Amino acid sequence: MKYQIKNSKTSLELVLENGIFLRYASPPGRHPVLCEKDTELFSLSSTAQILSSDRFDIIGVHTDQDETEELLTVEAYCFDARLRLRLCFLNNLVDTIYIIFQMADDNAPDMRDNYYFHSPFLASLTQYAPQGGKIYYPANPAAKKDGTSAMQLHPLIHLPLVVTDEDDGAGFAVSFPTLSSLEVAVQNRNVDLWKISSKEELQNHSSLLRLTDCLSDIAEFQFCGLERGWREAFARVRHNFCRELDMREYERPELKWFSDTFLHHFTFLYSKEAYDYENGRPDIGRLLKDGEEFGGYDTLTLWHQYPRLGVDSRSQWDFFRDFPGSIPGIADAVRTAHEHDVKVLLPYKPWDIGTSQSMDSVLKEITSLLKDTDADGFFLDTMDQAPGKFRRAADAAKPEAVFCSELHPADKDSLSLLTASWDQFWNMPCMPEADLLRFILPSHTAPQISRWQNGSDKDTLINRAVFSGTGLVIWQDVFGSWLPYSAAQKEKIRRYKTLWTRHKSFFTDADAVPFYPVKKNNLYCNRFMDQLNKACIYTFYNDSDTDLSGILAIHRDFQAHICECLWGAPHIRLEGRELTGTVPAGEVIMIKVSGNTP
Amino acid sequence: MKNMILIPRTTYIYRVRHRIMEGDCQYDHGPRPVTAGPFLAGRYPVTNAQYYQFIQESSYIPEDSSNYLLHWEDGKYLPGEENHPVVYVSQKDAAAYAAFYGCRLPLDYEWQLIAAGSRKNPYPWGNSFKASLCNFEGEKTTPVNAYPDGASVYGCEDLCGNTWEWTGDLIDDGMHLFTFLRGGCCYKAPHFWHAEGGAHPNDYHLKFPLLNEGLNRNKTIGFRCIREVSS
Repeated sequence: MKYQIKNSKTSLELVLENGIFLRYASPPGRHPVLCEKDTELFSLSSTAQILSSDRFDIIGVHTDQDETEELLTVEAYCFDARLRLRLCFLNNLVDTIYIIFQMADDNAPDMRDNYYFHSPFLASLTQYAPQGGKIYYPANPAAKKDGTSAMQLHPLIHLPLVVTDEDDGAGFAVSFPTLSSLEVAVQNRNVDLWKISSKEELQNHSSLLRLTDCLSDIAEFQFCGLERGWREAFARVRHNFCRELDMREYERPELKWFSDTFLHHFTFLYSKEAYDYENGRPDIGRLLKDGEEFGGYDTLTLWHQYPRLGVDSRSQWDFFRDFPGSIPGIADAVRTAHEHDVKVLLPYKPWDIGTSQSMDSVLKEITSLLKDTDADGFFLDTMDQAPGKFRRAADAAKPEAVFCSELHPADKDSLSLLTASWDQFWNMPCMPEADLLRFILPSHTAPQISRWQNGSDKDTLINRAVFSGTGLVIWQDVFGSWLPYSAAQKEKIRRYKTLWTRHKSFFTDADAVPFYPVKKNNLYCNRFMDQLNKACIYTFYNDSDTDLSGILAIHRDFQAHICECLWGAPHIRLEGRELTGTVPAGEVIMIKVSGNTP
Repeated sequence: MKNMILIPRTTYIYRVRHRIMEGDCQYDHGPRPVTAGPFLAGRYPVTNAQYYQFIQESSYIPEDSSNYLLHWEDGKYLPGEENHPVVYVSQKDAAAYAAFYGCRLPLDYEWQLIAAGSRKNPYPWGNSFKASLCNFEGEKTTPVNAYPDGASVYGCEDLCGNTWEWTGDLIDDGMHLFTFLRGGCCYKAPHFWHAEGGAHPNDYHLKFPLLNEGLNRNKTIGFRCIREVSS
């Protein structure tokens, strides 16, 4: 028996003969992405046996339909192992087919075996990639030279497996939806599947099931046809993710100022960088003057608690009161910064839990500090989430106060609440890398920082920021370790700030594409659109020891004939749709492509 | 001088340990040979009563009095605390006290000799930590002579726990000013990210970044004095 399940973008053929087999095909009339071979949809294995799909007897096949979806259900039973299977093909009649695997074990609880789930069909999907086509693995859409992922992932955002043709046109994406990131706690094992990072892992995937006598989801593949390859697949991920976010904080006019900021200074006060020991007070004026070498700081984070907190029982709030000049001293520092058009954040440390601290007392302190110092927000040390009460406390005192967490918000509520966080990373060889959240949600301001990058490592840090079109945190005194930028590095940041500010609309536009398809090995590219002006910026990074020359990438999505070099010393031309030229070894370059004269 | 103990001239291989969460301690932690002494060392840390007497005799007023003797009321220590170590004094306040009496604060390696002796005992009293010999938990200080059995080989007491002790080191590495605290204290902050409290062995110091006097004065830091003697 054969069954066709298809919509305008996707087509699957189900074959129920001596097992359960599946074949994917592009819908007729579209560029074909074909595999002639039917592939077994799943198999199970345990310590005792391997259960291929032909061990399941088909009990029934039926179809249902409502106003928006079609459903094909296959019910099967493995009498040997007493396993029930329900296989659902849910077609949204637009672009996606959901393949939902559900199973139950009818054995007594103490007699159940451990089964591992494997899908030969899923494992075979890379063979659909035509010559020159590309495969993007869910946890490793672009590999570094050592094979590890160049994409800095985010626990909430799950990328699909994407297969495209050579022109980043026809292809398909398979997503593995799950709301859980816990590995063994849930019956749906998609958590294993979105961690697939290589062809080998795809071919050998195997998920331990935890079956009960109730039919439960064990895996789900969302199959979607693509016409614009990786760009479309990534845009779909963004759309599906962002539509569940409450974006009100991002739309508040009074909070927009933070997205205009680029350079953030971490101000460790136990340092002559910021403190005048002779006069016993911070010298904000001098600090800002020094910052002009970087192009000028946009924010300061005044930091004077850690690592001193804990020597006695004073709290972080006591430390504010003991700040040189007490609270008026902070207000003075803020005033000086404001006179230079620089904003000031104060730190909040959730770990400084004293015996008398409650949520109410924290909220009071936040409110008082904002009122009494006119600071512009809080930096949330070590935090990746925050209670909504923080926002309401800030609103009561200073509605334009921003919260910036040290770590990317880890749940959707916090991502809705916190409009900024650091893109912090620790690995020294940090290129080429792109931060997934930065590309999914460009309105979330996330300056880059890797505090221990020193000397020439800081060049890599700057390269990473330029490659991703983000701002930076300037942190030269890391709790007593003085790690300064060189004059050349400062000058580089100054130039980049000017460039970033001039092209901010590109870098904050929603349609940013990480790891845009390229035509060279060891070449990496990000693309930033300015949809309003029909222009885009490409950043390229050559991660090899030799210059890369020739056709670098294909310009797509709008007609253009102007190619302007913005960063580095590239000689890039736009010849038809081809971006042609040379990217020097180890360098980042940035070019702007538009239909208008520059 | 009353309640001062002779520490003989001693050469020993100095090695000091510390735990720094992040950042550096720009100092030569050894192992390296050092020679300390002879000097007289305070048998006890300076007490509230002694510091009160100092103020009476010297009329000392710090330039910045933020948090100065915060635990006192109406210019005097609380009844019953006369023999507790004085706290809420900065390194400058401590140095002023010492100088007024012809003394100074011990340097880091000198303090280690006072506590460890030439045999380099890990704890003032011997080889291993003993809870009964020091005040190492809770927030309340105890009298400086509360643990006579916890004395070092030279007879100096209250070196471990109760309050940290200022050393006389003032390190300027070009970008920072800092000093070292010795001995640990009775207070233990609750979290991993807090500076650690409690009792510490003789070869341990805590880097203390200096800032304004309000922050330099702590409820947990006292001091003892040493006085030079001719060899």
